[in-house]
Amino acid sequence: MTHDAAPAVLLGLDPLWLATGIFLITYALLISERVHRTVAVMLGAGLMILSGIITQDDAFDGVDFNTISLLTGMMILVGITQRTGVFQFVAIWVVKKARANPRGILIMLATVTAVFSALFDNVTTVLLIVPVTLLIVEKLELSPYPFLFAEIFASNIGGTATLIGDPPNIMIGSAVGLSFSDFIYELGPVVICIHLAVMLFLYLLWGKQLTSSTEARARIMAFDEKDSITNPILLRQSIAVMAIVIAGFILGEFIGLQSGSVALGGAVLLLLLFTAGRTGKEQSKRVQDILAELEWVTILFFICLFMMVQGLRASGLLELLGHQLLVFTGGDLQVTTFATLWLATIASAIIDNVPFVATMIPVLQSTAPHLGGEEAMEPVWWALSLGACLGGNGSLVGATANIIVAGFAERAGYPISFFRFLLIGIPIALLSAVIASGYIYLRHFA
Amino acid sequence: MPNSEFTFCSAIMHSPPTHLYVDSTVHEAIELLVDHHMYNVPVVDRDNKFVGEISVKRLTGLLLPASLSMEQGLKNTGFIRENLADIKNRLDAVKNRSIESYIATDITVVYPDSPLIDAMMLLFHKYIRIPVVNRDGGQLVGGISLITLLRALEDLE
Repeated sequence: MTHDAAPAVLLGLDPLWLATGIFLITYALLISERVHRTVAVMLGAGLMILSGIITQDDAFDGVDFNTISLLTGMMILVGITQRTGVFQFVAIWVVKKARANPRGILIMLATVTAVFSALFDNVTTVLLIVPVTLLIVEKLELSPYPFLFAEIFASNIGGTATLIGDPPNIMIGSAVGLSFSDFIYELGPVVICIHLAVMLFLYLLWGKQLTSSTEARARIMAFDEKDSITNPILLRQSIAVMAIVIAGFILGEFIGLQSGSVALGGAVLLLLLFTAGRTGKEQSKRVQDILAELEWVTILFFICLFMMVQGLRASGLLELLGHQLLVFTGGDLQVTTFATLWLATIASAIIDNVPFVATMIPVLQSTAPHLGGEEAMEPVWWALSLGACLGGNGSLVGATANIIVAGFAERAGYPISFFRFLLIGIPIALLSAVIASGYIYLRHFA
Repeated sequence: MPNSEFTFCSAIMHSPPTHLYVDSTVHEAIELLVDHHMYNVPVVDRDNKFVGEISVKRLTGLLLPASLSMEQGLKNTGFIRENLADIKNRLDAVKNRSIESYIATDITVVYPDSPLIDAMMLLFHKYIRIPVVNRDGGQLVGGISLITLLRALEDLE
């Protein structure tokens, strides 16, 4: 325990108990959703400092600025790229490739959602794909439910495949030193399997009822996807910069360039191209528009979350939880891996996976010496990533993208109830976790 | 009208304004808009209590695909191809519905005893016509537009 290292704690209380109390209060606020999540973690981080468990400097040391840089950089890149209309272009293009056949549309739009979610954040992806989907479904005179559910599942599954696809992966990659290539190499194959399995499941569930008249399909075929491109020059620039950024993620590890620097570097380059050759006034408007659109509330949430977890670490609570985990799993790597996968799946269906993963990373790090060292415990990190990202499909509140899609569904006059979602979400999350377990077993333990 | 007195909304408002009822249909709303060349129409309940307004903007939204008119809806629409029949179909689908769910209820109103400047600021910033509502019961008693104001100024001469 690190009791001696902690500074003078409020009223001479035991820092372990005090930190546990702050942790429980913060989590209770996060689960109850009575207080906004950013305010809840601001309170948690503030109490850690004010009560003397950690100093302000300790709190700043706890912030993983690589994660923050990566999040911010990607937000800027997607903020500019989405202005080109490329998301709508791709959506309409694949729908026409499927000859506007509703069954083909279901699979194609879900797959596009998965691919975009792997490259950009899930929330932005569904914000751009769902309105196009609703338009197409309206034209086909079909219920939007199968399409919206498929897109929710696909966004969480696709986001699992890459370092940048979902915040838990950014945090894990950053804390443990796993690269962009590591994620693709390790998680790419299983994500493709899970996506195909889920598509098959949904096809069997809904495929039969998805039919549309030739007349309705002709309305979609009349759409001209080329006209959705609003700015061809910016589109080419965005694609080029995204390619450079991905190359930077892959090659950066060989020259010691971290992913946060690559993403921010790409963001600066695209901002430069976006504003180049404009008057001072226009530049100022464009830069302000893009930077004001950044999700500062989310960025602050991550910063304060890291600070709160730093308090937990200093109090010795996370080490204690890690010890308990080892007692439960008998210190066996295989048991620990699968326990982590299923715990993460269940936890992420119930609570926001970001605070869960932020807490689990130091807990698991403290167990490394007992599991054969940092290198040997790599399967545990893949288990954490797969569980945390895929568990989001378990319930409507499991991921932010789910809630965003439910909001659209409601506005379109097709509300998604919590229980209706559970009926399909639980089987999907279970199916995903079973496939992920089998994959990890075959790849690491067979 | 003596210059030395301050003017309140009651002094210049026109009354009674043309209005709809909460249970009027979309079709009735459209007829009223067309017949009176109005851009927004006040809506009252059967006790003449002000409920909100129906605007041209909201009715235009009903003629668009829902995915375009909804909050956070599709903004990039260049690829869409439609004809008048598509729009007619959407109008036919809603024209017999009650306007109740399309009423904008967050309308700022003025009272007969509100200073005239309150109504002018609303005309400047937000609306073409401001509903004047009884302070006690909330009944619609009049309206103020730039035209109303200009007529009052003419009368002064």
